[in-house]
Amino acid sequence: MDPVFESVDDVLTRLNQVGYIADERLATTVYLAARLGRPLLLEGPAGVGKTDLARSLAAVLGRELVRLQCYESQDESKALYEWDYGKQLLYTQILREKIADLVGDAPDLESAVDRIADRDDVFFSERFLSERPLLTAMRSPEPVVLLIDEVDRSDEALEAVLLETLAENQISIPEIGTVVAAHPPLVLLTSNNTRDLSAALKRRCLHLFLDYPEHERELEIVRSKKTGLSEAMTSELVTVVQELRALDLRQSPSISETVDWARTLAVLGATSIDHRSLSDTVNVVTKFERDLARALRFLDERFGVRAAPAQQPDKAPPAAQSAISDDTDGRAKRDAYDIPKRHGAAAFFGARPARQDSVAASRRRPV
Amino acid sequence: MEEALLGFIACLRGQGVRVSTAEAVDAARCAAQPSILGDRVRLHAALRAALVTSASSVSTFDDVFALYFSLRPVPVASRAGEVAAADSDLGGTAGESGEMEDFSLVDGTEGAPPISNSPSAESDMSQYFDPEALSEGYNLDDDADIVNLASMTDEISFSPGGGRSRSQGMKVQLDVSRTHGIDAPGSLSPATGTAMDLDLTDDEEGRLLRWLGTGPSGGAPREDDAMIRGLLDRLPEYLVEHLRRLADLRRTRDVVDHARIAVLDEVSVLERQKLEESLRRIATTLKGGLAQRRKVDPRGRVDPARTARRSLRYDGVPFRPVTVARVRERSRVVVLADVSLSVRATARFTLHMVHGMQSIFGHVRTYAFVDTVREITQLFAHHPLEHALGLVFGGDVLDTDANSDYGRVFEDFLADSGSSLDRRTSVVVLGDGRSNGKDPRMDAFAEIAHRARRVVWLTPEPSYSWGLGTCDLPKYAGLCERVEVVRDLSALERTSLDLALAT
Repeated sequence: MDPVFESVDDVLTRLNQVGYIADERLATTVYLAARLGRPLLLEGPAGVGKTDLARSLAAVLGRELVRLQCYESQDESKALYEWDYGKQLLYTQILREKIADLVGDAPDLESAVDRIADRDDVFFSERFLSERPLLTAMRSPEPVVLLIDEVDRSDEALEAVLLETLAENQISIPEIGTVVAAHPPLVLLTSNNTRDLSAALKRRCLHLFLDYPEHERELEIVRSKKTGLSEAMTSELVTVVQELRALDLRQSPSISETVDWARTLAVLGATSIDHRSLSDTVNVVTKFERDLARALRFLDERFGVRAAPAQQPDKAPPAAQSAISDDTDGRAKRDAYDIPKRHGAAAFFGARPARQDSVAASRRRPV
Repeated sequence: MEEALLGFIACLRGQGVRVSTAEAVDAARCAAQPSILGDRVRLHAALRAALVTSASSVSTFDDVFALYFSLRPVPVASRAGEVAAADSDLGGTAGESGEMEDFSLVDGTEGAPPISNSPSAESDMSQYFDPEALSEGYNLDDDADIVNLASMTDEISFSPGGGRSRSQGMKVQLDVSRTHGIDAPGSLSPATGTAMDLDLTDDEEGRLLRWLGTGPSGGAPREDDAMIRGLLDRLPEYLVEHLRRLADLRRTRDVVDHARIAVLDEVSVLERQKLEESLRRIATTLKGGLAQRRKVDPRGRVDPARTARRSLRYDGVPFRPVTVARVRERSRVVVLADVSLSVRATARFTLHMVHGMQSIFGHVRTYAFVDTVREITQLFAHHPLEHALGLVFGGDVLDTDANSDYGRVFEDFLADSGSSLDRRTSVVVLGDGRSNGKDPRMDAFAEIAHRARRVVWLTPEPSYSWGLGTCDLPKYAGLCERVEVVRDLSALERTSLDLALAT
């Protein structure tokens, strides 16, 4: 079998041609995986180009991309193969006369059953097998790229089913036998790391941990997507995004979201990366209310804009603002208790003493 | 190469990275591919792809790789410069390169006094401060120059003759082991200087001792010998005593294990009924994931396979389609209960609740923690409730008088039992989130929240008092699905009703 890639540089240049900007580490790992015929397990946060790598590899190699999207409570019949019961039933109905012919001249019941039993495998043959992604990849006459997406979403049971396929490039079907891949596919698995994968699965794979790229590489990626934003502005935008990632956000902006943001700004005809254009469109990259509030606060600080205190409430939800405030040492709150006569006459008669807004607001349930 | 690789893998294992033999073989195969060995970056990528199986050991791998495969020559300094070189080593290699740059900068200026070869960052830093003011401010005695506590590093420097420049004289770095437990409110100086493995020459040692005023002129000190000999003579005695103490300890612990069972409080039947009712309600709301198994259910979807099979007796005419539905699994619950002093008042209630949960939920694993975390699931399974509580609060399981440290607990929990968290697990944290100013380790908690299906935090403290003192709950709250104030049975009842309404 001739090698899939000539060298590491070959991987780099060819991926580059289809618009996937890879670094040396990624290229080396891909090269090794292709050369050793090993599955490649990609781990990393959402939106760093895991699925895109598979897509690009398929494009580079001119292969078909067979994709198995994993999800909770998926069972093996959705991954490997399924018997097409409906079709089997239909054939039985249509061929009823033929079956009658077959057993018509049987001397007794026993030999009739034997005769049918001889033809058993007609109904459990490939004719009635409906293939699912894994079997498709194994039986494909052309080599393919097999992507097993978000394998950590699936159950442990499915993971075990994958083991045979990944290690031996084959699938055992009890009724037929073992299907061995004519052309071992290039297998990529992706994981968001929501749970630990089993050691057996990890053992069979090469590993690649993808993370958010450096400024230069991200800039190159955004540039290659032809967003229509000017060079200087793109660079500035990437800087802002990288700074946003350093914040403690629930979901950091991904690469594709950077691209989206650049496109958004280009469509809106922004002429410069300034506070106004960014804070108007920052909701493109922040997917949670809390993140949005944080990102806005960060942008205010970055561009030195002091938001008027009166406007603060409509930028951030008041409940979240009070419960998750940064005032953790509670100095203000303690001071509030030092106000003389705060237990006024009203307090003695059952009414609540007048409190500040913040105290009243924090009584709300935080989540 | 194989030998080098095996050595490298041994180093990795020494650092706690688990590398199996099969992975080692893989690594060798990867490294043997063309164009891999010639390039450091590629070799790094190849070995990492084959050897590192969990994201947590990536950084360890990178460090070990950098150390093991760095072929830089060891800098050989002249004897006189060795101490100074060692000093600059504290700043790492960056300091040394800085020295070189400094040198090239002043190269052109003739007759200028040579830039003092004190390169490290802290000396640059200290020029912003008035040394006089610093010594006055921090040093109480006249020997300010000798023991310079105001130095910008955490080493204490001794210099003869009041030499201020760090390059003159000798430096002895003292690693002072600090008292444990005092560093609570935001540890002040977590990093100490790199401990130097430096051999002093006889001459230098002599100078050092002479200057310290203890050594005889020339030669190494010998007066300790008598003391050491005395120690060695009595060593067998010490050992015997130590063993005896160990044995005593074992015996008392045995006794404690069997005898010390305190009965704490009785729970009335009515209360228990109420508790179980509330818990049952919570159990139904904290549903687990979909099960693999399908159950015949009139409200489900048509199952073609079963329909086909059943209708065979009617010549395949599906008179009665078989419908199946996925059942929801019973939720798996992981309970993390704070049993420290600050929540003592409600911790008992909390553990009652946990005990109740274990009998109602499908899988409950319970962990109690203060500054360390221990699984107490078996404790509840084996002992009656009152005895189990006695064991937990009696300090038999863990030290209940320590200061609670949520950050460390979450980190340890993740490391030990992180793999038990999956989409079926709900995590219930019971505690007030006060870890006394220690690092809350948001990353560890975020990882827990990320892996589990949901995180529910039940705190005994009303939300208005979270802001008082150092409470990390507001930070944690952002990652929880719900945060509820529960301190007694009625609050639990209310919460369970709320939960049931919300879902």
